[in-house]
Amino acid sequence: MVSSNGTSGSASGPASGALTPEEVMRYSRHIIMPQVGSEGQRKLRNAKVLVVGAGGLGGPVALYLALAGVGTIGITEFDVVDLSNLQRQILHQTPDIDKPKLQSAKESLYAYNPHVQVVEHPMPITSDNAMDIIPNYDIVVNGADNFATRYLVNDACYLAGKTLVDGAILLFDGQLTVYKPGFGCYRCLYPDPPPPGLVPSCAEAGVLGAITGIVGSMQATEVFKQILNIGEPMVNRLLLIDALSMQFREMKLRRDPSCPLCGDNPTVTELIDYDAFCGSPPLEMPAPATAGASH
Amino acid sequence: MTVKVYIPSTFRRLTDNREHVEVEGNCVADVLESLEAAYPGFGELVFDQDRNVPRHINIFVNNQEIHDLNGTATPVVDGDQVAVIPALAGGVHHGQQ
Repeated sequence: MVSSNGTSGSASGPASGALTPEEVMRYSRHIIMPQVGSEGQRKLRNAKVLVVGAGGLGGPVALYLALAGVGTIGITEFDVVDLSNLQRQILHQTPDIDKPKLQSAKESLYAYNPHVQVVEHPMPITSDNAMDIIPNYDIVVNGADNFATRYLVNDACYLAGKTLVDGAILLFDGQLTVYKPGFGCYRCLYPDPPPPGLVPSCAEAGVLGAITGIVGSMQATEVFKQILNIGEPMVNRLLLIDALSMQFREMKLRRDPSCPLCGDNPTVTELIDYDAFCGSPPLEMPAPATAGASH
Repeated sequence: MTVKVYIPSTFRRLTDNREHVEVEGNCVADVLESLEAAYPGFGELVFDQDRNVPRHINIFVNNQEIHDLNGTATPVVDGDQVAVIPALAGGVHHGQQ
């Protein structure tokens, strides 16, 4: 059942309560760690995480969330599986070609762990639906492949008061950070998008399949740390991953007081037209089972 | 002053695939101009039409963003590490990654 805001199912999550014997066994390698324990495992089960995109980054993110027993995993995705996706998008397999990615992702996640609930949002996230979707979740993970969606998700998360775990990839490079409201946002780091066409796509420039697994796994790790309230989150820190040298560099980030969204005198107080902001062409939904590639 | 500049793989086609290059300069603006002179095409990436650094690119000196320092006037000394980091999104397709 798909609602008017494109949500299939609900984000109400599995029932709370004591862990079942099956859950204790399934998650025993987590539960045995004092940083998790039974209480932490119940926190994971009660958590609601939205993953934007079920492709290169969203795949490993959603997979590790499901394996860990994150109770409610929302996914926004409208693309279909293409042969060229299979070099890196681990939720989809050869028999899934031409299937909606959301369906393929859901089948894979339920095969790994039938105890989680996958909430489908079978449409692109837009200015019209973002504030209907994002407030239903505790944390949002961004795997979007375009700047318009990145600014939209950033703005919507800030306006909804949600933490955004952000990752990006191209060629052999990855970037990872966490935006927590009040501690800076994507606009603080990149106030303006690049001119259209300046930054190549993965289809144009290429991307190492395994880098999606590296960055996606790190994004999932940051989600777990947020839910469990452990460790040092990647807030105000940008991790640059260079797979060629296998060097990891950490840059310091800050909230920009002049940021139009989260600064001292904000001018962006509601969602805007992100295609116009980014100079990108109007959004076109691919026809089911026919349309083109994502990355 | 000689500084070491980290080139991400997205820009490395301009530096003969070198991960690090060394250039001269007394401030970040000098460093960027040295990069432009040494590596044709680099200037088009790090300068806009008004010779400002485009706002989708961040320059870091010793891992600190230059907006927190003194912008392109930030002084550099021998051995400083400069990084030129662009926004990545993967691309222009309007689906999701």
